[in-house]
Amino acid sequence: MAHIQLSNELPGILGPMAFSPETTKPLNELAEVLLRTNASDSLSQGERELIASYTSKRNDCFFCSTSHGAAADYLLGRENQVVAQTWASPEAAPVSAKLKALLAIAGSVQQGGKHVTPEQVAAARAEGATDRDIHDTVLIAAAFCMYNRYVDGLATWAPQDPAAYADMGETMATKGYVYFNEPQPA
Amino acid sequence: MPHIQLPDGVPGIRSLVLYRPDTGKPLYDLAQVLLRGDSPLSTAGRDLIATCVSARNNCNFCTQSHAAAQPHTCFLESTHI
Repeated sequence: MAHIQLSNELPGILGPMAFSPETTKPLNELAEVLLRTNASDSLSQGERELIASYTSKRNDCFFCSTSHGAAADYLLGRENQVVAQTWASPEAAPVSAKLKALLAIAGSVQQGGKHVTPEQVAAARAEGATDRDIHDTVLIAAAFCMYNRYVDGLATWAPQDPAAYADMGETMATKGYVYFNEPQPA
Repeated sequence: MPHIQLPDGVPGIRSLVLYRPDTGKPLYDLAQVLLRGDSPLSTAGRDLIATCVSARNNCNFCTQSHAAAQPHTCFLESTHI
């Protein structure tokens, strides 16, 4: 049960987002620009969702890791099971050497910003990461630490069956996040 | 030295917002509504929460700037910070 009366039955972050639309607007705009608008050949939408899911998994946030994992799997090909392999071991996951280096940076951000080392940044650059890639990786990881703490700090509920997230992930991947600024059916 | 090339002479998060205004805008919009928008909490109380969380994260720029943004900075001497 949530720590506060949210007056809706929406799962995960959607509950407090409906409770507080004024803060929801910039939160969704941030997710939209970071995960979708800024996506490029250098750091794709699917790779950005994977960084978001991986950070959330490290924060033990079931709703965010599973929903953004479903979005990443939709974008990267569900049959490839990239998310499950990245959660288990990013070094062994079927992703590029550059993305592995960026995931290592995201993992450090999850522990605390000062855990990111010059060596990690140099390793990412050696694999072709740009300043923009490194910036966006750090901000995705930092932003998801915020979203994760928002979701779990208010003890929101989440469906426990991962299969329930497939449609949600597809909607997030195809319609994005500003879409959720419109009132959702309770 | 920052890990990436940022505008010279601009401190803390302001350098990051100048570097990427597209992500900076929703971040500042969020801070504005959370810290200055309508709330049962006072603005000073909200900046106090922000600076205390920043101190626990050992983030000097955010700690000092949000401490300076509200008038009761004496708490800095009265805690472990």
